[in-house]
Amino acid sequence: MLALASRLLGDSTEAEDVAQEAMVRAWRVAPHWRPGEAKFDTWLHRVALNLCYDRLRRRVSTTSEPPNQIDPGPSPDRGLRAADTGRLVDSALQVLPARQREAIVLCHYQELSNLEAAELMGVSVDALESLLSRGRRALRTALAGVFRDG
Amino acid sequence: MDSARFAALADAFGGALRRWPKAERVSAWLFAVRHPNCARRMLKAAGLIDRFLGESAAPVYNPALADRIERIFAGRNFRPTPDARPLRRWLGAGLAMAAATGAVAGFAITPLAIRSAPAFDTADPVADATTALGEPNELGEI
Repeated sequence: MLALASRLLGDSTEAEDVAQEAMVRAWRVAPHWRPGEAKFDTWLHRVALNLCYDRLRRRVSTTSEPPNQIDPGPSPDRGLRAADTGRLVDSALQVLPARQREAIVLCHYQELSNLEAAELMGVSVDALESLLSRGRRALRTALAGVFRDG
Repeated sequence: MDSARFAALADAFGGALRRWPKAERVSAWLFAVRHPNCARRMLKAAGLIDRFLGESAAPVYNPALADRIERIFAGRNFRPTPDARPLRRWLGAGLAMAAATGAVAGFAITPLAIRSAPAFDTADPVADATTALGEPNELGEI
């Protein structure tokens, strides 16, 4: 849950708040959860996702223009260390359109199936596939310099 | 499955068949058996993105977070009701597992994090792609 929120929000403090709130909400609504109606894991993902959506919506209404390019960090030709590459990937993820980022986080990092991810996002499996393709292509473009060196 | 569909799936779900839609894994695997070079090429390209995504570090576990949540749960408004006890046991177990996983991951990742550059040029995405395809006797797991 912490990883999900961290990658969707790009902010560890906010991610911890989301994880905390998700646990509290899960505790509160626990009496209404019935085994068999939904997998607990999927249900908890939905709680965390909704909290992330709330925060992202608040950001849109309170912040100005989002960054339109990733922080290039150290020049690729100087050789990248794992941490540098990780930061570049994190930056590239953060500048993806929100829905593409969600699709990648749910399918790649959270390892949800296409059906689970599509249901959580409220889209069809075809739409999810399209979001994933566009997201991964955008990442490839954003990380082109690293690819060239790799 | 044809090459266009195989490419679309690789484009969306990456170079590891285990991440692909369950309903299409068997036909994808059969396509890869029939057209190994074509499949390997597409999986290799998709696997490169997977490799980079894998470089994104998981958040560092903060023990204070578990303490905060435990304090909230210890509050008088959060006494479990009888019908909620089973799920709350799961929540407690989940918290404990998250704490343990974070601690273990921290110990495991620290030595890796201080190593020098990842060898993207020497890594073998083809090997990954081959692994992703799996051996015929793994078909049962697809």
